[in-house]
Amino acid sequence: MKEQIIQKLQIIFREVFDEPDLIIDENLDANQLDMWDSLTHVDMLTMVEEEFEIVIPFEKVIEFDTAGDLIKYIIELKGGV
Amino acid sequence: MPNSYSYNQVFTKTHKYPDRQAVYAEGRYHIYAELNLHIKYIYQQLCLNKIEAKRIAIICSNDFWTVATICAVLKYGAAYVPILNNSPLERKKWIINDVQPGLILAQSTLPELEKIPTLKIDFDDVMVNEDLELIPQISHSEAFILYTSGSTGMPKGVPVPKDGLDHCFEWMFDYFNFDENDRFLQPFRWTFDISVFSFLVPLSIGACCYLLPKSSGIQSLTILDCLKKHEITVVCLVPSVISLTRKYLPELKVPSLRYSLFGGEALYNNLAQLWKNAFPNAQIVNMYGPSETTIYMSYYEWDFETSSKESLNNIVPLGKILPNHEFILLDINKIIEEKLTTGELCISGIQLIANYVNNIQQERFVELFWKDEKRIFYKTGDLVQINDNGNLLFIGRNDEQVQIQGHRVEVKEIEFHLSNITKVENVIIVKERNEAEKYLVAFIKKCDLVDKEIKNALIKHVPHYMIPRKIIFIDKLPRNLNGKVDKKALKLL
Repeated sequence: MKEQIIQKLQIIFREVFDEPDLIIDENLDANQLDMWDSLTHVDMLTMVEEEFEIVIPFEKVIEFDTAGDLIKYIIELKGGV
Repeated sequence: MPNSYSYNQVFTKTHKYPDRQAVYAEGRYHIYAELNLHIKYIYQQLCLNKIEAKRIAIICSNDFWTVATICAVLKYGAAYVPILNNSPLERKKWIINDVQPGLILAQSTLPELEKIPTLKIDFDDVMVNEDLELIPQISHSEAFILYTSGSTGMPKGVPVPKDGLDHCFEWMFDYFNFDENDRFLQPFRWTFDISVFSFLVPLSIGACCYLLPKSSGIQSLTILDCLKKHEITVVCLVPSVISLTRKYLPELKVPSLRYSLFGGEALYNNLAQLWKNAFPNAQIVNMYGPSETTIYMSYYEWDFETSSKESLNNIVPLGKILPNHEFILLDINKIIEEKLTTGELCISGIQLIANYVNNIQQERFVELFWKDEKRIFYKTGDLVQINDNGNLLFIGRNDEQVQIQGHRVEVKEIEFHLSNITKVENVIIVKERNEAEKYLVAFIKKCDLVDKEIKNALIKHVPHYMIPRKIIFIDKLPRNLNGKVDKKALKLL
């Protein structure tokens, strides 16, 4: 399940942050990608919500520092299924 | 040199409110007594070293040290020149060379800037003479010097006069109902003039200043979080923050915010409405003012009903010019007409800077007649209209200056560095995702470098916000009939 989530996130990240060869890991954060800023961050979250059919409230969004935080939250929300 | 400037009352407040919280930085509060101690310590170091510098550069970070150091330099009577610790080395060197400070204050040694005397100050062992009085040791007319993007390819220094800063603060204290119970958020870089409002106003009235925490996350969301978590009561933001957080605003209802000022770029009326719904008790005030006119030069109180009618192209009016200042609208043919209601805004008054550092771009300062008297006016480059209520309405720029998330950017500065890096022709285009979200795209003739190499070279010269989001390589730049690069055609690509 986790691998599938990472695969899907990788497709989203590659598109939004314009990094076609990006391999995401759990420690990846905004400081490591030139294009990861306020503008693209919300785009990325919107695409994540659409892809996984979830809604991420503001209270959660502000807790995400790394790709790993996002992966963990998606797993939690999807009940580990 | 008077010690009674209204912007410089920090020391008075440290005595009046020793136990009140003054600064929140890096996860903890610093009370006024602590601020007082550290200001005194730095001031004492300047005295002991017999510093005679009129301009003192400060290597700034987002911390308590920077706040105390700026206050101490102002108390000493010198002008502070903020240099961001994390700005590109080439830019630091260029600014230092241009402004020629008599001293650099830093928390650590700076071997790369060693041509100018550097005083390293840390707070490991702070001892002060309790009887020390903070009276100015330097007689100097400038309060601070900020470097903004320059159309000549290099940043330009804007020396803000103490008298002008004092006038701006007096107006603010008179107009707004701020008090010592307020909590201000300071979300800006120290090189952005609105930062002076965000930290020096609260410290001048005994209120608390919250520095936006360092975060690996996204700044606009962190701002929203801070407003809520710390129950901030006063903030000035760039309107981009609304646009970038609009997805989450409907989830919020934050009653604590009393004043929400916006400045630095156009405020869109629909976004102001969204903001008001999330911060229902906030009085939204649209503030306008180029750095050359000292932080704020006009104001407009936003109102749900009236502002919808008054906004032009969905842009909230700039409002009215501050008292004791005059403006003239200059038409595009440079002919002044008394009844002209549309033109380039030119401003005169005490908040105007005399000129840039090293007197560059003197053409921006023009002598014009005002009521049969010659006065110096600053040509803002902003095209405005006046409506029936006497409010100024923003139409656009008459040059290539743009605002990227509140940062003033001269595209020519980026093009200059790109030319040096690539050795081929290039042009910067500003693209818009929507009316409030702009980003830069560089079109570069095909060369030997790839986009990563170009971006890595560019970041050595300009701040992060001036790096184009995209670089597009092109065989030949399209031209219009006049032989100029056809930017309209490029925008469509």
